[in-house]
Amino acid sequence: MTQHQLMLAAILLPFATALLILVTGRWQNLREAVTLVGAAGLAIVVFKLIAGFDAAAAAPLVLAEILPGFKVMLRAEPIGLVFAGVAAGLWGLNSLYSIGYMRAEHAPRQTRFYACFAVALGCAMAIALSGNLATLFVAYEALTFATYPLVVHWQSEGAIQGARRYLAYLVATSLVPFLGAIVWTWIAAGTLDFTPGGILDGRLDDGLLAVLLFMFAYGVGKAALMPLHGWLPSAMVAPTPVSALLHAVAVVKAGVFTLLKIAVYIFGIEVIGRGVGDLLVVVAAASVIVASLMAMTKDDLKARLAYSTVAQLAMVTLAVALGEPIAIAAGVLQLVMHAWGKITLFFGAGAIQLATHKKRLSEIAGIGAEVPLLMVAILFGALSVAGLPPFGGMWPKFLLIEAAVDKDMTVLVVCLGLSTLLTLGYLVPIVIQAFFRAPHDDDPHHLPEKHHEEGDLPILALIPPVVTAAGCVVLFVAAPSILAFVAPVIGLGGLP
Amino acid sequence: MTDMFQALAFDFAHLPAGWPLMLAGALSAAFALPIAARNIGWVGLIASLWFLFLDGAAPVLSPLDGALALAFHLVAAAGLLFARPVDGAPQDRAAVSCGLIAAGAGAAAIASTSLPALMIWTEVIAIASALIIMAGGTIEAVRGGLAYLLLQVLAGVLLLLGIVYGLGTETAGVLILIGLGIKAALPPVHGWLIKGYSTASPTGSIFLSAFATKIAILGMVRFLPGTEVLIWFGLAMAVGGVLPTLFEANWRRLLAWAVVSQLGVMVVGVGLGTEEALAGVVLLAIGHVIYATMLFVVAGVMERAGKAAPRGLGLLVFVSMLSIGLPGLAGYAGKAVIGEALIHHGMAWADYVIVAVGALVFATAGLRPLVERCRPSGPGATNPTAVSGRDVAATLILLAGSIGVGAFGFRLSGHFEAAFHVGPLVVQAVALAAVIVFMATGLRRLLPQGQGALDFLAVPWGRWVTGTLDLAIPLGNIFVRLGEEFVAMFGQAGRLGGRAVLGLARFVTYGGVGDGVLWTLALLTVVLIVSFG
Amino acid sequence: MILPDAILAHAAVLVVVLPLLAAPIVALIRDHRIAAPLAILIALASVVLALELVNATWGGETISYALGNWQAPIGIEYRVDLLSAAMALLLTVSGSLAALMMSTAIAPEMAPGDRPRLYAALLLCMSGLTGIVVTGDLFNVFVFLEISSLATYVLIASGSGRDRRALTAAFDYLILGATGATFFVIGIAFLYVVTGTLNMADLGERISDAGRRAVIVGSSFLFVGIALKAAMLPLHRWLPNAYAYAPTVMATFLAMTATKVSIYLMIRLTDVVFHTPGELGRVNFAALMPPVGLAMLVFGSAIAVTAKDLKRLLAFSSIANLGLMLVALGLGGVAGIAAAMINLFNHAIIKGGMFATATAIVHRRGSARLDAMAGLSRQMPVAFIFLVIGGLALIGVPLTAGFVSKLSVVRVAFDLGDWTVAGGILLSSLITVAYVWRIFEATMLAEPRSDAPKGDMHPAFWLPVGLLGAGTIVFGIWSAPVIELSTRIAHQMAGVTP
Repeated sequence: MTQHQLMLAAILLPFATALLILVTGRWQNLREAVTLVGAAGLAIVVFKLIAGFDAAAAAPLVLAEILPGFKVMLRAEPIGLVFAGVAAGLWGLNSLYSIGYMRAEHAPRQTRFYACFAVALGCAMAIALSGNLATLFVAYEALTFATYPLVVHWQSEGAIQGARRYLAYLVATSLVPFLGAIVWTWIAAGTLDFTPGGILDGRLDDGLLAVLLFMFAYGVGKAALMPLHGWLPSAMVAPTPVSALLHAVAVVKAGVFTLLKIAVYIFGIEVIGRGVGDLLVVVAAASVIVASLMAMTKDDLKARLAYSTVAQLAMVTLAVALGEPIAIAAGVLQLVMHAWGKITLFFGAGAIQLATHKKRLSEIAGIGAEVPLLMVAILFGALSVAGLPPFGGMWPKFLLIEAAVDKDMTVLVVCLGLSTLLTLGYLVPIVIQAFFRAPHDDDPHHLPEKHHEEGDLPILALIPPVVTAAGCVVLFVAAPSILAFVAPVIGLGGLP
Repeated sequence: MTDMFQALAFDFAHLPAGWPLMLAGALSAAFALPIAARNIGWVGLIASLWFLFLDGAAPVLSPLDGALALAFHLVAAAGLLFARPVDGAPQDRAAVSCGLIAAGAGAAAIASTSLPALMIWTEVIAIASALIIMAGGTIEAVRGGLAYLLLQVLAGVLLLLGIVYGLGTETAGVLILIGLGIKAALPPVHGWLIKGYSTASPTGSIFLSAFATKIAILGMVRFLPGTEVLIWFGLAMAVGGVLPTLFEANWRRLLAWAVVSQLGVMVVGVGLGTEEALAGVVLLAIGHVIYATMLFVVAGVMERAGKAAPRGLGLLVFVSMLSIGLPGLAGYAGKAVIGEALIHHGMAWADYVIVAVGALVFATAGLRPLVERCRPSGPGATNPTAVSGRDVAATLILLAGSIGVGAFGFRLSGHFEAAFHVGPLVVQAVALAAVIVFMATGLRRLLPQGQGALDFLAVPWGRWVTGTLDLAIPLGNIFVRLGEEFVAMFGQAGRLGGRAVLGLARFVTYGGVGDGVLWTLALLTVVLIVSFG
Repeated sequence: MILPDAILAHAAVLVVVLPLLAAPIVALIRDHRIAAPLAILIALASVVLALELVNATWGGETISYALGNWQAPIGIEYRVDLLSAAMALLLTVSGSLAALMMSTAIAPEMAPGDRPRLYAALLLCMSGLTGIVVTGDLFNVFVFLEISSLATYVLIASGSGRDRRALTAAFDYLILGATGATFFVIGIAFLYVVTGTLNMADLGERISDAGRRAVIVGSSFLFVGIALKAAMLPLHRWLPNAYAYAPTVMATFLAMTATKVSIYLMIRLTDVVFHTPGELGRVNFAALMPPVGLAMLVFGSAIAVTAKDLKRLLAFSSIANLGLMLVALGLGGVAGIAAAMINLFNHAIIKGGMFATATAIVHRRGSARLDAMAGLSRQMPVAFIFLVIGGLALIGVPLTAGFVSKLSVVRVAFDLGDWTVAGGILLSSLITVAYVWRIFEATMLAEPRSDAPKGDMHPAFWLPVGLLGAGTIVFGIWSAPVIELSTRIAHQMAGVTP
């Protein structure tokens, strides 16, 4: 198939899967099979796209023109393909996990759940392959609405409130600053096409560019830059597989990916680097530290992970704001590494909840001995997110520090080092608590008969975290290849 | 960045040395079958040795490096023998898994050729070691492990920064010095070692003592040789480390202090930086890996047995003790070579300090426990059980290593001959004799022992580190509150604004039809006024 | 096209006269089973005629038809340009869609014997509105305005079968509408006195020589009259009740047409009569429109958030959308008029679709109250999907017509550097999210009642609802037809060749 056909296939396949899921909703096993086949198919398509990618032959594919000049257009480019690869690669695992999780929880409305999941993936693919800001915006909005039913899945009072907040933040940011910034860009530059080197240089003066950058940074609410991060903890009311998707694969990654695209193809890395992004650097760095501190205070596992996500994503924003090829490389890698690390942690948190019906850090003392494999997976995820070798998460941190050193931002260097320690400080206790504490260390009311029966944890909920944890290690070795793949578009030299 | 990539591209072109050990560790962690876990460990150990030394594609190691790697494997073997993951100590399983990983990573670090790769492997060792400490199971151990991890990661970050700034620059030098310094327990950041080693389980401390600090020393040897300031740091460590051993009652804690003191000797050698001194440092590192582990094994056996020593332990303690300082066994050669180098550097007095420190370690870490606890007629009933065969085997394996160092030392380094210079031998003999006299007689009662004696020297306390971390929680709470206030304020403003808008909207929208006509007239008036105005 | 030339030549008149003449006949037929198909047939025939008009004027031609062969300015001239033709098409299509649903939708609430008269009223209303858009004579506009208004009162009042408050709503509208009409006719009188003609084209030529004060007074009266019919703030108070209490199917028709025709009049009068795009006379009403429009956007949306009834909610949403059109119109220029026209067409489609869906829901469930819609997403999934499509379009989600509308206005505002307007429009769309989400939460998340009537939409609604829903999506993706049409109209109005 040609590249164009593959791109279309990558976007349409999930939607077709969603349709088939709706059709086959009555037969559980068939429906799940559809999901898995769809996921496998998408993985193959995206793999072919990446393997066959040729920068010289990448031509845009115009699908529609919503307004004159506001085109729906696809174009494959390395950063997008990396994102597509992450999303497509994790969909299958997440689906496996979902099957294990949702069945164990006897969740209602599963057909809607899987269908929306597929649609969300389709939207993520469209974001990844978008050829201009207009298309990206279209897919971005669609993703918001496609994930709403997932967030509100339990339909309890709390879920409805949380989902409202989710929607309010995301729609408000995208409809006001984001769309405003897009139209402004459109008028200033006369085009919205993603162009290497950017389209805004010389069209606006640097002060206005800084304002525009801020509009984008806050407009892309999915990137959860503080103080507009509130939707992310709220979205934790969703079932855990959804949280995994939101926090690792689709939503937040779509956000930071958007920022990366804007930095590379709308502003141009150099333009941001010459001072336009400086204020954003401060905000993003503060976001990293503050969110880490806030994560420390959270007892609820998923809330802790949510704040962790806020902190880790702020690093991508930081990378964007630094405006250095190395920093952008860090951002791209962070997108990948954080996806794998955080999805592992969410899988883990969900599995803990399945196995023990406990969601709080203070309650899970000593459960690790029963599922050591799971705890090892969680540990790997935590260490990768914190950025320790030999896990993939080290690379983005390293490159970010390098960029900060290049720019002589000593304070930033300190912040980054501190953030690694803080990350360990709030993630490792999960492992400690679960693995190294006796079950009733400080719980005198612990009743032995509350001990659940074994085998509560479905194997389908155990395999995915183990695979993703192993992936964290593999990615450590694979990172240079990913960098080499994106290096041409971000102007990164000096790769072996 | 380029440095990092090139270094790693080279180092990761092949599987890292010691990978079978690491794999075995990971596998034994993952599968909850204790017996299988141990057997996996043995398979990994043998495979690792094969790929390290015998396989066609084996990395080319210098004799000293190779010996150090071999010593690591001996420690792993001893640890496997000593651990009891099946019966009794469930924490041992974690300790063994992590210990195997640390051993493998240690081998990989030795085989690595660049600072980035070394840094990565030290991080792996740090992670594994932290888990080993946490596996101790007590709250103290858990917090100590966390503190250990945080400190080690801090050191790792500093190393990474050093790499970023580029080897050779001054900033990088300082950063790497601090980073490796923390990892090598340089004062004033050595408390983690004392706390960590003593709170870990007995099995844990066997693995702990061997790898992390030695790799840090190795890193100093490779990247910071001849940093003068290290001589003074090393001497301070040597002396400061040995003092608490005089008064410490807890054997493993005492051993931890002894480790600090011996590391000090190595650091002195690094500071000298001559080829001879560096050879001595590695020799001592090899020796120390072996004899420190032996001591931790016997201390572990003692601890496991309770108050009274099992039969036969005395003999094991005796051979371990000899390994510390007896010429021809593991401990002596390195110290002698470093001493020689000191003399060549015109610091003969420092040589005497080292010798004295070594003798004191010999006395406090080996002799005194031997005399006080392992006498058949010691206080308390004699333990009727004999030392288990596994523990004996563990000691013997290490003893073989110890003898090997003495026997094949010449093959490792040309400077080894310093171990047979008569002058130092005499000095050593005098020193040993002195301490033997002191310890074997009632004179030793002049040194009162207590649990945690001179503990204030063990800075920074783990509490400081985790305390700092705990400080983050109130700080975080402040931000959480701030955020809530922000949202509440925003919400309040939104509600007020919304209500105002809604009120206004209702005012203009609802009402009788008469009002509507009035509004129409009003609008007309306004339009007319505007038109003519 | 398909029609014989003899008919073609008179299309401009026929499109008005056919329903006008057919209405009494329909009213006289006793049997509603004959009356309904006849009404549908007439409405569809009008659609064909309107299509013919669009076809004939697409290239920028103007059809001038002298009624009774009395030439203008003495006789009454029907003057059809693309704007008129497109509006006629919109009106007739709306009428047809309403007619298609009418007999089924009205069945539960009206005695069979009364129904033919209602059908006749619908035809009359459609005819009157069409007359407004095709005539070239100002007084004729007033006449048709009255015809359509009277028919509208009937349409609203006929909702009394379900809710007696429909009568008060109709009465209120009657009073206010009469006031507006009076103002309108007074304005015409002023202009006639100073120019001596009622033909709009003619008036436009003579007005520059006329007395300034009279023109100002006249145009002020005209403006207020039209503003009332356009439900411009603060003269919008008749609209919510009218839409909410009229039979839903008639509300569908009204929402798609009534206020749109007033917008048409604004464009027509400012550009043809006064030759001053965006101004009536020498008064710059254009400056008034963006703030008033923004206020309508905010106020309408705000009340919609608190509405407890779907029809009421949609009615207030209509006020907000009218505000958007006024803003676009106020921004002026070719782009502004084009944006207003895009909004006009798209909003008719979107809001028509939502009202049509509401008709189907009311038909099945007997109520449009939001709390009566629990469980709709499972019990009436098709209707729910169309509600979702319409709701998303109201918010302005990409790939729906609503996005095209909103973006076109925002783009114009940005182009002019009018940040307040651009920001205001974007911000107000957030309130839209709030009220649309009330629909979704009510239909999707609330626990369904067990005694809810079973079954999805009645088949009679499939075509109208489906067409309008599809239009919402199609014109959101393939917006070229609407944009091309609107741009051509704007160019023609502004007298610029594209």
